[in-house]
Amino acid sequence: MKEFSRVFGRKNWCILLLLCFMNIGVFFFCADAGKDITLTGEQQQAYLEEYPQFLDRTVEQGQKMISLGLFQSGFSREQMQRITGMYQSLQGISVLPGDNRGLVLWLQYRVGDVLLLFYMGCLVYDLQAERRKGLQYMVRSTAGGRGKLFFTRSLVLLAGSLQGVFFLHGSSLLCTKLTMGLEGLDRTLQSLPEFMRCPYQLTIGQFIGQLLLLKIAGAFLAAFLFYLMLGSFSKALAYGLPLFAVCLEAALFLLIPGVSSLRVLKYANLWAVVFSDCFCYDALFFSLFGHCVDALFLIGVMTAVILSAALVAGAILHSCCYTKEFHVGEKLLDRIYAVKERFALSRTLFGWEFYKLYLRQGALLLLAAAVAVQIGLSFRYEYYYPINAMEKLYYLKYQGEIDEACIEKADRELQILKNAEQRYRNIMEELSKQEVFHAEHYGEAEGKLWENLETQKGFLPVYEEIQAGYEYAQKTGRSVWLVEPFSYDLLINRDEQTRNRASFLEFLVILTAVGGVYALEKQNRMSGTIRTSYLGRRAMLLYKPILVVGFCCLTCLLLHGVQLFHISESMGFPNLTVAVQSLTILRDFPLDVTISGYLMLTFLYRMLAASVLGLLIAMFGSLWKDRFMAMGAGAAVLIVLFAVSLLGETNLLNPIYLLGKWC
Amino acid sequence: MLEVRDLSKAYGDLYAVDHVSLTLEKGVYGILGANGAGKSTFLNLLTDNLKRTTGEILYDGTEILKMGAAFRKEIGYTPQLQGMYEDFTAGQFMRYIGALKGMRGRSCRKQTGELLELVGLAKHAHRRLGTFSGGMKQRVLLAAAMLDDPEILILDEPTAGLDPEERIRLRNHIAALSKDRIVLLATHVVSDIECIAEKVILMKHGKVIRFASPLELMTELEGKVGEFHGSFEEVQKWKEIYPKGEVIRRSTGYVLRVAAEELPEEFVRVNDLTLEDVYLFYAEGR
Repeated sequence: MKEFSRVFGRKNWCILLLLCFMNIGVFFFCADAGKDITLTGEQQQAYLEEYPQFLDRTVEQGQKMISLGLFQSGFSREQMQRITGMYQSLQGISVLPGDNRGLVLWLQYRVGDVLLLFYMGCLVYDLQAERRKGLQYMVRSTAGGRGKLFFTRSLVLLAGSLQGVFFLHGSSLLCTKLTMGLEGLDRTLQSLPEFMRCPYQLTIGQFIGQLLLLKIAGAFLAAFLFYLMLGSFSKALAYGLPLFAVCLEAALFLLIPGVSSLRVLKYANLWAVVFSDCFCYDALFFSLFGHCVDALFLIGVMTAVILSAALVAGAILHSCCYTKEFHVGEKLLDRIYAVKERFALSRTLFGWEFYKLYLRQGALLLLAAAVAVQIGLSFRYEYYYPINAMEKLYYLKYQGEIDEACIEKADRELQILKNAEQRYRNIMEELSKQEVFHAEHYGEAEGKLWENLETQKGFLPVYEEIQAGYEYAQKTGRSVWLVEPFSYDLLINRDEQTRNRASFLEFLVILTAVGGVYALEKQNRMSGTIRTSYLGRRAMLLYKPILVVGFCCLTCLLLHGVQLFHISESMGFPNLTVAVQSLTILRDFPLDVTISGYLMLTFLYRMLAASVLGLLIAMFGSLWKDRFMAMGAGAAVLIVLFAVSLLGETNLLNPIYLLGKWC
Repeated sequence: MLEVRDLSKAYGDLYAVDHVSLTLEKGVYGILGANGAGKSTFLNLLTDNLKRTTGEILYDGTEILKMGAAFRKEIGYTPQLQGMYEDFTAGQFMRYIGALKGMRGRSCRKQTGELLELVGLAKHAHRRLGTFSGGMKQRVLLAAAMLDDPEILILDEPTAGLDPEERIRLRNHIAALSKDRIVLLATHVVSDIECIAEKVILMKHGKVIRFASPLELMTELEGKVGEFHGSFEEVQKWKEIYPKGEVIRRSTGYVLRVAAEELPEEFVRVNDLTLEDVYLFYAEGR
């Protein structure tokens, strides 16, 4: 039990809290909540009506193929028989409608599993504490330090996988329920169009339960194997091997198609256990010594067998075997480090603090990862803006300062269009009254009327813009220009998701990068040494805050800059040098600045907000003696603020809102 | 010269350092005392790591709080707990400490090499501190404290956790480095300072109970140290009366060596006094 309390202590809960926070945030801001991720409405109804016929057709085809004897091998024949039988057993099930968006979104959300495996890695790292601190021989020499400890730790890992799945997947399920709902869990799984070809008779609730159980098993298996490897090999190999294996398995799982002859490598895979929904999209069988075996069943058995074998091997290793150290590649590394030391850079104290925060503590790496995520998610699709081509042409035609000449020209054009519209209507009325109906002439007039109306559709918004601009210019005396608003409207109004995502990633990066900047000194017991030194207090009170502010500004610029860059590439930002009040959405902006000035002001404000947040997080983190606890505590405080702002329906305490606010 | 006047640090009613006054000139000073005597607190007050309750600390006549960074430039300090960045190499750590001391690049690199050579770690400069033994880490800390040739060297339990060989080696390094500067060495291990300290500051319950050279302290104890020779059971009976006494096994049998104001007739007074006797005489209990 002591081992449980040692591992599941405050630090562990802080890490889990931080991961839950990341999970919920990524789920909210990165999931394509607004997009059409599944069939709804009439399309869904059509699918539900078509499904029984799909089953009948599949069964019929299968029976035909079996009767014709088209299969060469026993496995193929048996597979077809099994598939046909499975679909036959489904005939007569009822598929029911419902709002499936939440379910499909949750099923497609994979980040929680990656965070789960990371959390299990942290648990394993904790279990190896005595090895890092040189206490392994002391522990092994005690009565309960071998086999008993091994089994206790196995239970710890099992409990950890339960805990991880409960909190990480539970939080994303809860978010789904709160945002989009989780309807109709008692419906058959085939009610979801994505599972049309699923051969199993399961309800959606049963499927989710099975999925979560397999995630627990997969996480436990991964952690257990990692734990065994860490105990058997030298550190470099023990960390490198699992990382390599996980990446290789991920590549095999993602890249091999489901119908490939190499699909065994895809499905007999740790990631397949974790993402076990992949077995339910289609009927999947493997050949085992010529016999046809259900893939899901086989993977389940294999997981159990590997786990049991690993348990036995681990018990033998920990109980009976002597501790070995495998020093692979150490001499070569030693030589490389010796050369590196000879040519090491000289740094000023500021340089050293920069090195510690940006490189050693991984701040730049975190930022690079966040920027990669933002770019990857932002550039997945081109910006879609429903621009009327005629409207765009009129903006081009009338671009320039809105003055009397401009308004007069616009008035004349409107008059011309209206007169033309009236003329065509009159012609059509006359033609319709005639005894002999001249369809050709009527059609021509109708066509011209339609063209006129389309032209007006494009012109009227521009005309209204010119009018409003002129009235504003008259009232305030300011010089107002007609500016094509589409890209600005996208940036400031419509594309809230990208902006919120950038703010969330920014917040996450700042929390994890600078949260432990002072706590690290306490953790390494360097506070006394630094305080006592000549320039140490300058480092703590000046250099660190400067570096924190610098990092926060860089984070803000890069993450929010992605949206700016993407829109600029797609649509451009016209007339940046005109007064910001030329944009209707910013008509009431009180300062006399240009559009580019406004953008710069906004970025200045955002950098200030990020810097204040960063400094507050760093200062709060200085109360703790451990980096992860500092981050966890910071995340807890900010979750509370976020919750208060949600419940109180105010954005004043919402850090995500404040980081991405427009001036 | 470092002058301490009426220095105190109180935590509520408890005085961790209780009105200490000392004058320290160039030389090696051993601060001897049991755990909790106030040695580390005293050193933390000297280095301005802790806020004092009362008193003054003057360096060459100027209050160190007024000197600020100028005083810290004169100090080399090794803390009680081995604080360092385990993922730094020894060379990186030395250069970082050099930067903290305001040293320039070239002179910092030069001194780093020289000091690591002096403490026998030149060949390990490229290795991570996390891979170092306790003794090696302590030598790195000593070398780091010596960067920029400080006028005052403050070493807090520098030999804690070291084996006898490493302890002797470190002692020799300290002796070699202690010329022309004030060296304050806090320890509860008498052998650390026996040979190298010119004066001993004996602390107990936050107070300085004795401040004199080892020879003077030993001379004061003449006639107060005695030995009882007997069987193991007899020695154990006397040990119950004199729990501070040291039981020694010699070829002639068991000996209980005691330092006390008054000794029973059964005890033979001895003349070969050591600093250990002084420490035990002033320690808690009889």
